[in-house]
Amino acid sequence: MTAPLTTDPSTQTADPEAILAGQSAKQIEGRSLGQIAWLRLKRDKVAMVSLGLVILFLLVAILANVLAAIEGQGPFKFNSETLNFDHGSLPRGHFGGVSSTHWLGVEPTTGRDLFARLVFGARTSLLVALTSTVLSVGLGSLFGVMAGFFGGRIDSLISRSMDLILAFPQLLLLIALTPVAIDRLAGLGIGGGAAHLVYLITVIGFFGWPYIGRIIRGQTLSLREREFVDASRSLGATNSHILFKQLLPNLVAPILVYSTLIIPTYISLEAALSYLGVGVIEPTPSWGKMLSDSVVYSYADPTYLLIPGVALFALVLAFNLFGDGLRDALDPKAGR
Amino acid sequence: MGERMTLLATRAQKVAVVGACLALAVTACGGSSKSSNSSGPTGKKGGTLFLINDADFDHLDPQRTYVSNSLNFTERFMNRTLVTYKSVPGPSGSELVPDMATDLGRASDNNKTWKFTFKDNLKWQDGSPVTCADFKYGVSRGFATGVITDGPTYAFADLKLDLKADGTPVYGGPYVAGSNGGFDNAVQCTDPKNIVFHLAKPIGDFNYTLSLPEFAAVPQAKDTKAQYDNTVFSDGPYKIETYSRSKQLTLVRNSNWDPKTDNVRKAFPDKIVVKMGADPNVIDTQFISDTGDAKTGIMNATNVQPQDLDRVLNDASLKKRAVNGFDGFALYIAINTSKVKNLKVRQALAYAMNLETFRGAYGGKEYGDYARGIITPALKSHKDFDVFGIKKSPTGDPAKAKQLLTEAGVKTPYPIKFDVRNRPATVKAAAAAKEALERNGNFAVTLNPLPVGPYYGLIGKKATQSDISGGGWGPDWPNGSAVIPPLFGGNLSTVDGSTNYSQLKDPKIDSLIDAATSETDLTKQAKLWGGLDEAVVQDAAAIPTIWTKTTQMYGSGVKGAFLHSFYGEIDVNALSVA
Repeated sequence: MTAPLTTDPSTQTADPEAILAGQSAKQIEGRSLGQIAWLRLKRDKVAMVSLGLVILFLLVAILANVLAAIEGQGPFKFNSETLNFDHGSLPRGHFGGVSSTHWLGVEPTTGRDLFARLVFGARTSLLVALTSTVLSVGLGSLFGVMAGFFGGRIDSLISRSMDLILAFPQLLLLIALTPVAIDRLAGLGIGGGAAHLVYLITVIGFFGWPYIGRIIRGQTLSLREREFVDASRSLGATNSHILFKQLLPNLVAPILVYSTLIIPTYISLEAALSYLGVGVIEPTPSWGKMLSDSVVYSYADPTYLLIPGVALFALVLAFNLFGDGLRDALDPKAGR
Repeated sequence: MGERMTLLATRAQKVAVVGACLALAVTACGGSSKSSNSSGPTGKKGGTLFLINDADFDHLDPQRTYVSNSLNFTERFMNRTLVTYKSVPGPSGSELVPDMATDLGRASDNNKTWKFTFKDNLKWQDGSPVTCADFKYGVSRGFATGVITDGPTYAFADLKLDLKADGTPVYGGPYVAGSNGGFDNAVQCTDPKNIVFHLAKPIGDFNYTLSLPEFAAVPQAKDTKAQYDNTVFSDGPYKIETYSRSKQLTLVRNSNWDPKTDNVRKAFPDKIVVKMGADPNVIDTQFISDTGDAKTGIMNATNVQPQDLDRVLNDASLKKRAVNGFDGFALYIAINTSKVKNLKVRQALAYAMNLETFRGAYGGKEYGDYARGIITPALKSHKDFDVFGIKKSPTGDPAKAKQLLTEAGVKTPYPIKFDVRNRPATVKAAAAAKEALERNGNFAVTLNPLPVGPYYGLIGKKATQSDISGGGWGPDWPNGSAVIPPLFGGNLSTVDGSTNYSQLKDPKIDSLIDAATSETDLTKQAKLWGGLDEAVVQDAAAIPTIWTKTTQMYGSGVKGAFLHSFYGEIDVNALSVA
């Protein structure tokens, strides 16, 4: 055996970032990678503002009932008095019917309160986007890291499955399977709008995992040849230890970044699928559906288009900027 | 019953399907066409007329054509029939005039035999004469159901033919050898100048059926079977020059068409170009801005979308380039009587409906009038009744609805599953209905959105149809006989794919239908249909919702545009662009 692999803490170089911040190397000793990243993130103003926005949107979604109650409106009530049925069922008054009773105006042709629908829509959209992200990122990370680490037959099996799923005419399948799947879910006691939500989350999550799976597999392929993996292995670490204690922490950065970037994509996907009749159904509000419904009203009622448009824009931008900031914080070498 | 009725129903359904989806209906007689810009038969020859469509025609093969804009196109430009509809604005557009025949037909044998005489000098595009054999061959093609799909099947249902045990005709069309199954006797060319149809039962308005291109002529030598859609052989004023499916169709003049034999077709433009594939919203924009091809073009397959309606109808400079009026369609909600068996529950549904919010979701007043029956006011069969008090209160009668539900003694909230066609406005209207039924009555409604294309096929599956289903109906000819039997005939109640979406099988209604069908006096018959309309609404087998209107635009270079009451859209016949 060659020289023992002992490390002397005193020989470790101090974190340059910590020095930058005017902290001594001694103080930083006990800090974890996460803490260091958080420190960096805190200094990134754009990322912090974005994080604030994301948290705000989450709060709006969680407190939808409270906010709608404060306004005194519900998302499902048809307010006939707010519409001019002689003129294309457009809202009466300026800016799409904005008033003290309807803070953001009302939906053309139905008169449903847009503020109430916006806050309840945030709930639907974020629920769908976040849960399907968790599902696809979870599956993708698990299978990706396994494919990359084990290689051989397991890699072939997982990679070919990914190819299969990617090559599938998903949209056609989704549309064709919807009625059957909804009936099955109804048989399991999940009926109506809930069945559509569960189905939507499942399909978005399931068809999304190969994308992240491929990224993780590629990262794992390069990571598994690194010295620390060899070191762990030579010290007799089990596969599961290397997978989950050695590799996965090193993959946190791409996983987190990918997640924050995929969430806005899933919000848009929810919108597209809702339009094709696979997504959430009336009268459930969602931002995607609000936007696809409102696009044609760009001339007749521009306020209606502006509301979900601005909301979606802010949400997507916030997630994207936060994702960027997070990537910089987690992996300062990348991108700069 | 059996296959004959199934096919009959499929035919009727198809018109409803397409009409409802585009709100451009095959209609009977749209009464109040408000078109102002009818410059009549005076127009100049020359120029190119554009039709800006969102999609290709479903078919141009006359025996397969069954969607209103295709009917309009092929009947006016390429496939003449024995009789056809007048090309005039207003209700008289639904009146028949002789086309290739010299008159509207002569019925005998208690309306079971119909005889037509041909005009002289009728020619195909290659100059050869149009013969009685060509007509007979055309009709025979419809029986080749494996090849000639999607067309109407009146020939199956009406002609006197030998039938198999399951009720389908023995005759299998001209492409298969074998028994003629009585077809030669049912359609007879007694001499070169005359054609005779023998019917299985008396039909007092059979000549209306003959206006459909299902009964148009096709020369056997030019029949390309399933490919005939692309190679239609013309006996009308235009013929195909090039046809690139789903992209563009160009028609040029047919020099062998003799205007002296034709008192309907004007044929002003030298060329007709159909552009296909633009989004309906984009088509709106093209016509509103009046640029490019739209300047000398018309909307044909689409109509003005809800979000542009108010602008088009209230801006004088746009309105003068628009036609607007009833398209002959009735929207209704069919109540599945095999699931909602209790009459009081069905009536409670009708009283709980809020037509104001329902119609509002489609765009309000400009989309149509509140309906009180399935037979629209444009038809002679219409009867003015108001079972559920719509005139007084279109927003529903909550007290009455709740009282009926209590009397019915059912557990509340009463669960209702509602089949909806998954189109934005349609689903919004359904959401309005859900809100009304839950608020005004004590119902718990679950919406069941179904894909747009196969919608009517799905709700036609009798075992799986939900409690209530949204629908729309435009009759194939202007009579109650094209409304009540296909929608409420008990013989269709259990036939999958049939249009009896109420699954109604009521012996009282059925005997009234039989009485009306066999009535030979058409005025008396119309009265009977009106009474039947009221009876089925009283029975709450359906909730009528809207008698719809349509709005289409045309370019500033187009003269002579008007809303045709039968086609429910701009009549392509009388337009000039020079």
